[in-house]
Amino acid sequence: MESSSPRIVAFCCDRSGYVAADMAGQLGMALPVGLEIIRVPCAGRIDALHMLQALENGADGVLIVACHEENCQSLTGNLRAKARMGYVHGIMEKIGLEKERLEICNLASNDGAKFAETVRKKSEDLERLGPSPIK
Amino acid sequence: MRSSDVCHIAVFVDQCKGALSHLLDEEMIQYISGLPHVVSCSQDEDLSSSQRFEKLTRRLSRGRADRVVIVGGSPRVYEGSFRRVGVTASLNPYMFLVANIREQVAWVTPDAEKAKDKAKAVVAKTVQAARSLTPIEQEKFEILKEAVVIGGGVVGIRAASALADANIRVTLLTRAKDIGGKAIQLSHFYDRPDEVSSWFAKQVEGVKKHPNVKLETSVELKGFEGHLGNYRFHIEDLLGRRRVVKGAAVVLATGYDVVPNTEGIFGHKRFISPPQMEAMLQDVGKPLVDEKGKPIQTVTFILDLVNQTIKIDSANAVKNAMLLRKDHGCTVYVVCRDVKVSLDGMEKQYRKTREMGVIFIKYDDPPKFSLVNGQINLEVKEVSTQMRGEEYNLSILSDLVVVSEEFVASKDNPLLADILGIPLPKEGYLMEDNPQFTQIRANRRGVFMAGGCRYPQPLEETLVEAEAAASGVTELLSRGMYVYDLAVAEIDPAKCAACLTCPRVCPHSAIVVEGYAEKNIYVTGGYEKEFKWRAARVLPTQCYGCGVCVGSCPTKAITLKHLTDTEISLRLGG
Repeated sequence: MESSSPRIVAFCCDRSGYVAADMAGQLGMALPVGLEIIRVPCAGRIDALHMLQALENGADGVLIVACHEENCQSLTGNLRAKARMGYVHGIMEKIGLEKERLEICNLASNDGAKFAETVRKKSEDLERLGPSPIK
Repeated sequence: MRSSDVCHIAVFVDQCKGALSHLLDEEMIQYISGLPHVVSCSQDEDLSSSQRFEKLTRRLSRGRADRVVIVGGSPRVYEGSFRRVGVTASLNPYMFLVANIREQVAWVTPDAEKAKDKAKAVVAKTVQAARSLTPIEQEKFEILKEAVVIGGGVVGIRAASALADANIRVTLLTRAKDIGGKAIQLSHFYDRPDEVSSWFAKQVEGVKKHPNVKLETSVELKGFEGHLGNYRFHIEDLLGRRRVVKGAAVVLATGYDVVPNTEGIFGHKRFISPPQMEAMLQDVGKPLVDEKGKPIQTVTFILDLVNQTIKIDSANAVKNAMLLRKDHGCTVYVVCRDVKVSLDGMEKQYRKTREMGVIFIKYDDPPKFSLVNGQINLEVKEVSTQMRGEEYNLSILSDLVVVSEEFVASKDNPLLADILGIPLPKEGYLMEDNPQFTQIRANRRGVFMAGGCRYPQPLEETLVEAEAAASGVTELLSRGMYVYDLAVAEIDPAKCAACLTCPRVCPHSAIVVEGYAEKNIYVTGGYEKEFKWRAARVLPTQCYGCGVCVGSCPTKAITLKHLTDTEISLRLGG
């Protein structure tokens, strides 16, 4: 991918995030070129390791797109993802990465507009932060 | 990677009826064909049509491809078709991946050049990730044609008799001495001419006499184990004797609790509860009189002081107001915040009731009550005329006031949920898997629920729910075999430290910890030989494949078969 567009890895829950991403596409909303979507059955599937691996492999930012809190089919999957994100934030701080590179976004399956908006905002934020030093 | 040596990928390119024609030109096809492990690349106009899909897949069976990558739209479009027709091409239904270049590239990237580059990247990543795919087998087992119903109220009775009629052996467990419950308190149905008591007596008799139904009264549920198709219920009778009851599935119909409202002035004898009102209306010919023999002329129903979100009181008030007006010529007031009549046919009845002269009054501030000459005086500010800029302070003298009882979640629900391993939300009612689509299923497979244990509802609706739960069980059991894909989590016992993290995080109670005899990597002296090693095991029939345990496992002993860590890291470009 070219340097001007930051590389964002978005882990999308199959029950909300991925459907919302599909919807953003169907609505024809322009999304950043650097966006990569990874479909997971539940946000609880995302391991701390995957978040770090994404950063290690040169992603400028990582986004976890999960269901609204207290609305998870797996009861606490989204909360677990959030907790793991907190753990990874600690590691990122230690190794000198900005915390803002890893974020969680809670939305519903019909929130295509919110998905697009979040990803665009994330892209702008990352442009301001500059490329990841790990690259 | 071992499987990468032998993998042959067939790529299907879906033009999506021309939506992707600007991306999928000759050069792109060349690029896809040139990717590693790709053995064939076939194009089609519209793969969302399952006939075309099948044709393409059939052609595949002659080739040497063992996995498929579809380049086109959203995976949600193709999954169903591939799971169905993949088998005909002697392909495993899970050996496929989708590169979504329609929703994720074509429609969201205005710049044509950039779109092309991105599409190439997405396809390349997906083809790479396809290397990690492993076949997922199907399993099946014989399912018992037995079910258990817990709760001997009207819902339990209805569910049990529906199941028994479907030729399923039912065990009806209840802690009461006899079956019955609260429904007997009602006098009439709103939607049919029957009286509840005679109808109910028939139901109870039907269940008691049915050859497929076994009644277990005065028993407590003490334990629950097993999996869908073979659950075991440990029950204890009054003498403390334990027994085991088997069932392939269970319907929970344990109902809710009622708290009478008798505080302060509500304790006065002119305030009665809805069941007392129903009892007075039981005999149609009998005139309504108070304890001194004077006829009752004015009756007021007070709703929404409690149970503001439950429509039972509203429905029963409308039903009884009509009877009072029609059969006894009473003046009837219904004082409420909102009239909740969202039941089948209830709207019409509500309108009819109003036409007959029953007065509905809406309030915002709770009405005040006082005793005037032995009658109840009620002062209320009527708010339904507020939008016209008018406000009326009304004062109503009535002979009888019907005050709703409060409906609360059963106090035994926490214990029940604990024994059955199902979640209990804050409100205390048992939780359904999905409040919109699967109201009758708990989020543990084979556990169904109906009626007041889920949420209190009017009798007429709750009966529909009981039948729905019964038909859910019938659907599961009537096939005789339970067939399921092993697209689930799997634990490597050699890596498991039996730390009990996964049984704790599993939202569907699908993980158990078992003792093993062999390969004990934690073996220490002093253990019994047959029980020296413990490891967790996923019950594949119970697993929903969410992967929460996989992310939580500290020793990385769990693999999610349909989305392995390898696949994620290949997708991440590792």
